[in-house]
Amino acid sequence: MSLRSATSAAVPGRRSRAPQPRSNSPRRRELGRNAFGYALLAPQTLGFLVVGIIAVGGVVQLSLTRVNVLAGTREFVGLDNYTRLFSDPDMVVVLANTFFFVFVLSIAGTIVALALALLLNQQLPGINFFRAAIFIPALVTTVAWVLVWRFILQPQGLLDSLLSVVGIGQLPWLRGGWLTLGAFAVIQLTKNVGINMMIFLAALQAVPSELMDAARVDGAGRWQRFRNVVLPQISPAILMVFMLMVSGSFRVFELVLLITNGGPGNQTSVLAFEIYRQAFRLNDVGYAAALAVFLFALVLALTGIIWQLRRKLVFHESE
Amino acid sequence: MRNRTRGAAVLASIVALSAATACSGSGGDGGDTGAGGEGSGADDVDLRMTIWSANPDHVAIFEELGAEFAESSPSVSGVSVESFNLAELNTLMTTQIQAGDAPDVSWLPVESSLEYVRAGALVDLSETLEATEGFDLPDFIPSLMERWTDGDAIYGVPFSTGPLVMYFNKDLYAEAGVKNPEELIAEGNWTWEAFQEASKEVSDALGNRGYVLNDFDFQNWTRLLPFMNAYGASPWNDDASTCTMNSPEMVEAMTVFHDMTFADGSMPVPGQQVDFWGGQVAATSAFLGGSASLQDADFEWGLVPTPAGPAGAVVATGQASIVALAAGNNTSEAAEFVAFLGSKDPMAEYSGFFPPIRESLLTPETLSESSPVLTPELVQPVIDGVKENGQVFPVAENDAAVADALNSALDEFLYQPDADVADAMDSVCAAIDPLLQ
Repeated sequence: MSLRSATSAAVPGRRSRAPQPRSNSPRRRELGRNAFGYALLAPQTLGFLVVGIIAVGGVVQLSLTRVNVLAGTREFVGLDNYTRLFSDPDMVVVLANTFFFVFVLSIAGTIVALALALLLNQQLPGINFFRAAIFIPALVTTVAWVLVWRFILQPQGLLDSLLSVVGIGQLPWLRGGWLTLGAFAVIQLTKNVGINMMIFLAALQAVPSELMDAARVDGAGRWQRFRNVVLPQISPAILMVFMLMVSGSFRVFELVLLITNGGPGNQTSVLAFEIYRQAFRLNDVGYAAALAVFLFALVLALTGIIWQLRRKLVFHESE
Repeated sequence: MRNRTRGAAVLASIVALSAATACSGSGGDGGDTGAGGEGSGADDVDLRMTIWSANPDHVAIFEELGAEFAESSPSVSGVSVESFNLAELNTLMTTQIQAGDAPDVSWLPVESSLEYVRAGALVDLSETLEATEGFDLPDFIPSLMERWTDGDAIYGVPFSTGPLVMYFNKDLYAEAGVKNPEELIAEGNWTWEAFQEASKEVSDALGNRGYVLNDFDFQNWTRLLPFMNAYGASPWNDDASTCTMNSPEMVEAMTVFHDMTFADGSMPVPGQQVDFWGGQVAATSAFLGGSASLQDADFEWGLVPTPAGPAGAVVATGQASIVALAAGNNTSEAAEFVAFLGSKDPMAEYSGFFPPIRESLLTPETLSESSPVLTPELVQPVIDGVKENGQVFPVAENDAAVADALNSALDEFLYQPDADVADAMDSVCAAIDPLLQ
């Protein structure tokens, strides 16, 4: 109750409004508030409906057809494209590579970003230089970043020259296998770690100092303070970064396209690249659409699971 | 619980909408995604032409010719010329055709010819060409027109038939004390074996690579054609129904390539970036148009045909045509514009940049007049080679899929240091055979 309403109710004889049960009912007020809220949400929701759901519906529709783009024909084939997807021997490698990136980039990406944020969350002279140095790759276009790495990793390139100093011979960095996938993970991770580090840095600086002081007074050591005070306080940021990394890892594309083209064979191909290859190189738009729907379902399922787990993992979420 | 209900509602909406759109779009007997037209019949038609050169001189020539055509045409008011990257050809065409926004006229490489013709994506130009005064079809070298004809139908007018030739760096050969290609030709010893040996000697002496395939990057099998043609090898048989990548001729040709790359060290290995035009490599094979990159070269260079082999001195010849897209909105005007561009006088305007297959224009003077570096003496042997032994790139019907599988299989099996070439070529055939009819 506001001060003004409390005052008028307390003064006898003051003219007060007649009771208006219809307009003042809690239900009516709630409806009004909700309508206002829905009106504010409407533009974005309509945009999502038009751009999002209709586009997704279009892709689902395409995935049920066989399209000959050059001939301008489209034939309904039911679930044939999905059957093909699950029987395509190439998909074993493509999916393994895709999940490798999701697993490595989401876990390692989150840990490395957090570690860097902890390291750089200090009041030292010149600390901003180091923060900027790690953040700058995030500002560089992916294509430029990938091309620089391509020169570093090429045979007899910079990395080979550095390794030869310590007696390690040339390694086939870009010729497929786990070595290439590992190199890709490093390229992708170093590109984006700066943004995640900044998110963690902001979260770390928002941890109330009185909590840290209280923990210190209680005799908590450095690790205990981190484990029992800092980590719970920044857990929403960790969840957000982890979810962004998971969904982002499914979309690793440019570096595959620019460095190995998915090869040798399809040894370094991933789902996002496969969609592009099928649609724009092989003109198989229907199958590419089925792959896109499959990717969408994977991302939706995985982020859904993580979202459900947040109650157990994120501080306050269970309340 | 509320979140779950809301999530389920959103999911249900997606599924319902998808099902609705799927049902409405699938007739079972096929729909039409194209936006083809028979010609608008309007008085003010704007034609759109796409080309894969961004060179301002090339764009300007076609814009000027477009303006000239529009002036003489009763229905066309203008022609716009748009540049794109050849590597994006499939992406561009399929997206624009699907969106109902196909260009009216375009350049098309010979590799795509059969796929586009069989899909009905190109307009038959035969009647228009016949009706165009002064087109003079017999002036085109018939053997170099084959890829664009089907019976009496003609689906493209070849405007550029560029041979793959060899450029070499005279300074590097001299520095290494090795006979350069011109000297080998003078000795009558211009074969792949002799060139392989010379390249290895240059590499051993200088540490530079002896040879690089231009625009290859281990992703473009057509750049291997000088090896293949010289040994009488082809990736598939005449009607592109069976893979012949494992023929003895092909194994022999690919053994030379593999040895130069991995045993001799005279060619770059996969992933390695080297550049002939900057003076790092002793020789390269490239199209004649590559000479433009030598305008500011700070080394002395020469130009010769690619080496001969057991099958003789065959000249691998790329080709591109001007075509009218069936999915365009103004097909009859587009066909007339193609006929105009292929006529003798307009073709003479750009044949200095793009080697024509019109006998009357295929002269050393024509090819060298627009080039700041080529001379009639340099290009004469190349023209003789094209006329006598020119062999246009082989073409498969579903070229996009076959080329992708071929590049991918070569990368996986052949471009490996320890590959057994014969086994590798068997594996390559296993990969592409299912895609050939």
